[in-house]
Amino acid sequence: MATWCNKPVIVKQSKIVEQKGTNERKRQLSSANYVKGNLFKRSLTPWPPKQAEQMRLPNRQRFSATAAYVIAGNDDLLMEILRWLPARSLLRFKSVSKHWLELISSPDIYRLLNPNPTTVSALFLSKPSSSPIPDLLPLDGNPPTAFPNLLPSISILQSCNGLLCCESLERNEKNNPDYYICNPTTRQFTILPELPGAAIGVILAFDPCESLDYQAICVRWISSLPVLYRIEIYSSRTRSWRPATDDSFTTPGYINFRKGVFWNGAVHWITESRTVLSFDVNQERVLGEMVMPKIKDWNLRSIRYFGASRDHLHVVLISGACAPQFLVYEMKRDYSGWFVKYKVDLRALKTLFSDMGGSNFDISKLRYRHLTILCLARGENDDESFLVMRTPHEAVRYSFKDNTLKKLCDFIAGHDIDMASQYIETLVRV
Amino acid sequence: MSLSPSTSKMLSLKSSDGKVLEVEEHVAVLCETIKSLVEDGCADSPIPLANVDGATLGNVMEWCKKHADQKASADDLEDWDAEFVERDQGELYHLIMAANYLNIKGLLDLICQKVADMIKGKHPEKIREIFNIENDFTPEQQEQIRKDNSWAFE
Repeated sequence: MATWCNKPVIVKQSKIVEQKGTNERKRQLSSANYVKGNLFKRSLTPWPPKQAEQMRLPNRQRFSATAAYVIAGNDDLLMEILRWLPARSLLRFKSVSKHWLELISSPDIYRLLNPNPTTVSALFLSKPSSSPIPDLLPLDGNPPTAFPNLLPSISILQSCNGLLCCESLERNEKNNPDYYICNPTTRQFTILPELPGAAIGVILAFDPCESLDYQAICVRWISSLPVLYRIEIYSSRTRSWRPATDDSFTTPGYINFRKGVFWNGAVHWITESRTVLSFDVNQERVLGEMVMPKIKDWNLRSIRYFGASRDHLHVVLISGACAPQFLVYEMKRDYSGWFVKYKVDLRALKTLFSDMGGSNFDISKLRYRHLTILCLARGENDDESFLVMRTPHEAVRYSFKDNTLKKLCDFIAGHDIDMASQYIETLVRV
Repeated sequence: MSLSPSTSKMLSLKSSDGKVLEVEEHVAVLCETIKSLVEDGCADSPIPLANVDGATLGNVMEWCKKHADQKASADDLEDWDAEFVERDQGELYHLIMAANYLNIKGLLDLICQKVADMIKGKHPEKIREIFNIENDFTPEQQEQIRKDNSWAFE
């Protein structure tokens, strides 16, 4: 038990109370006596005072104001406060002073803000090309909003730790799309220089824990007999493309090179032959293939999700046509194999998806076509990890911890979502 | 080092304004600064804490005591912390300086997060007032920053 040896402290405190009235009672040591509220809201005296007025201030206010000034003069402490601010406030506070602009623009703040890739706060829902403006679906239960158009007619190809890789819907004079790297938080974008030829996939490789530079990996098809591909690498440091040192390569079967996932310093693609092909970005070479976890009745539709979150690579597999039970696998960091990270059994939920007839709906008849996994997001603690799924008419958030669902929004019938990209706040420059 | 409450001895801490606070060792060692003194065997006499005033030291120790209590659940601590940070800004700034000086990461994060919550919606002019910062931008530079980050100013 903490006890004061020096009684006069309390006496001194009471003196202040007498002089300054009720606000000063907050100084008393028992938490029960704290007056709740924010000093800003007091209208009696403008607070804090301008420095010139300081000498005329009652002791207590001078004491507070000085403390704030000390913190303002200590960059380490200031950064400790700034790192908790949302990106929007930070961008606004760039206009406070040249010093704040410098602090908020420094790489240190990116590192403090984003010590590990931060939590997914929303999803961009990309609709088929009819409407190029994606909706932004917040994951905290707020309704979706149209995301103001960053650029005319683009579609999001991939989201990687806060940055987006996008392509234009219109073709340039060589009949190729243009590629962009965007930061949706700062609304900045950069257009990638023209490629030497048509790309069959462009994937962004960005890991803020390693570096604030990023690379774009482009796969090009160079011959059909035999089937050969080549990789070009764009670096944000040189702002140019160059061929990867590894020579051309072939693959064991069809690969959708547009759907690559960046994790652990490499880009990963799922192949038709139940393997994962990867390209190590630093070593610039294609790695051996990893085999997918074994399940019954394998086909490409068994893969319901393939993605990375907080530096974990996941694949969700559904065996057969029924969807109420599925397994989430995670890849070991050394690529030695997959392990089951989560077992999901939706039959344990009694009040599933209201749009499927509520409690009368027989969950064991749930078909995989009813269910699309839009995102698997790992929390800072494992307890906070969740899935975002969509049914024909709504989007729901599923918590692994307690096997519960929370509805996020309704979808209008026919409003098809073909892809969801994670929105993670970052201030990194593109 | 494991210090259980039953075997914990008392430490004397002396604030910048000369007040002495008796605190159980297992509570005080939540301050990394004090912990290293204890580990080095330099914690016998009242430990002088030149950068922390008596009232702030009392608040810091109140937090440490709660967080040293092994019976407190995580939910409990969260609720308690939420109450703890409900105080005026002056006190919060003093707590930040004390938590930094005494090297208490948990308390520093808690208070900095609270201050960030309090200032996040404020106008840049208000921020200058709070921290006594001079606006050294020309109106043109100011306008350029607003333009570059227009969505944040909406």
